[in-house]
Amino acid sequence: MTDSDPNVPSDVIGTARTEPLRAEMMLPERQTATGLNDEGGFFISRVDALIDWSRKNSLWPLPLGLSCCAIEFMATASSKFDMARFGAEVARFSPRQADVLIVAGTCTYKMAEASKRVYDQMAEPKWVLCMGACASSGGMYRSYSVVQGIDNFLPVDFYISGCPPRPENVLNALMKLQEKISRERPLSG
Amino acid sequence: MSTLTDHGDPAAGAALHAAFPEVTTEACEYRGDVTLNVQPAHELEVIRHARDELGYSLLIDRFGADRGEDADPRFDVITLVYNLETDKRLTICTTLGGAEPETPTLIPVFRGADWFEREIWDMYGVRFSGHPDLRRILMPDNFPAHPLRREYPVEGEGDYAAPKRALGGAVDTADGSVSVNYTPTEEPGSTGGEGSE
Repeated sequence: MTDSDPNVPSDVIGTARTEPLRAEMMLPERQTATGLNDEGGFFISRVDALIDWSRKNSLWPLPLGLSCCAIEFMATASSKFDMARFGAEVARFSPRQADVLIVAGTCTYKMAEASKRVYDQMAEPKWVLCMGACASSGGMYRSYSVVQGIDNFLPVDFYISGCPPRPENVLNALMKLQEKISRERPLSG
Repeated sequence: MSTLTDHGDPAAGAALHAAFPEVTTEACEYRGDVTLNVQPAHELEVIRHARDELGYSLLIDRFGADRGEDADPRFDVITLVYNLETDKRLTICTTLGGAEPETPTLIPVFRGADWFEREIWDMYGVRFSGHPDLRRILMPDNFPAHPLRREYPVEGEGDYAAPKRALGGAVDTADGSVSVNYTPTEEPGSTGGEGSE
C-alpha cells in the first residue's frame, strides 16, 4: 500500500488514484505507481495494459468544429473545465497527429466528404466522439443538406447528447472513451 | 441620418428609368426600398450605368427567387447595389422564364458577383452565361437537384432523403408514409384552451 512505500508521500498519491492504476496494470500488492517495490526498481505488468494506459491518458483530439458545439468544446478545453486533467488538452488540427476525432456540430453533405477524408488520414488507433444532436442524428436539421447522423459514414465510439452538450458531458464521454480504451487488447487481440 | 425606411433614393430610381425607358419598368418604392425591373438582356448595362453614373459602386448581394412551378416567367434574379456617398441602396430585379433559365453573368461589372451567382446556380438552377467557374458552391458537386426550387422537398429525396422519424407515437409504415398517433398531454395547471373540453 502507499503508506508503506517510502518513495511515495501518501499526500501526493492518494488511495483513490493508486488503486485503479494498480488494478489496471496488474501491479503486485507491494508495488506502487512509481514502479518501485520495497526490493528495488521493477514491476510486472502486461504490455497490453501498459499500452492502453499510455494511450488513454494522452488522447490528442482533432476538434472538427462544424457549428456551435465547437464553442462548447472550446469551453471544455479551456481552464474552467480543463480537459488537460485527462491528458487530452493537445488539440491538433492535423489528422496525422490526432487520435480522437471530435465531430462537434452540424455535418452537411459537403462537409461529410472532408470529414471522411480527415478521418481516413488519421493514423491508427483512432476513435470518434460524436458531439451534440446534429452530429448524432441531424438534430433539428431534417433537411436535404445535412447528414442525418455522422454514423452514416464514420464509426462512432460515443455519442454526446445535448444541443449543445455541457462541457461536463463532453468530459464524461472522454472518460467513457478512456474506459473503453483500457479494455482494449492491442497486442494479445 | 438614415432610418430603417429611408434607405432608398426614389430620384436615383427615376434617373435610371429615364436612362433606359425601353427596357426598365418605372421604379417602385416599397417601405423605403426602390426597385426596378429590367429585361434580362439589358441587365448588365443598366447596372453598369447605376455604378458609373449614379454612384452605386458596391455590390451588396445578388440572389434568386422562385415564384413557383406554375408561374411563367418563374425565376427572379435580384441584385442589391449600394451608394457609399449617399448611403442609399437600389434593388434591380430581372425575371427569367423557362425550365432552364439563363442570363449573362454580372462579373464584368462587379467581380464579386462570382460566388453569389454560383449560389443561385446551385440553389435555383439559373445558368449565368460567361461565368468563368459556374460550379455548385454549397451542395456537393454530384448533388442531383436544385434544392430551393419550390417542388424540391425540404427533407430531401433519393439519396439525400432524411429517414422517416418517430415523433410522439408516429409509426413508420411499410409504404414509407408516417401515421401520426399523437395526442398532446395537457400541461398540469393549465387553465384550458384549445382542445380542452
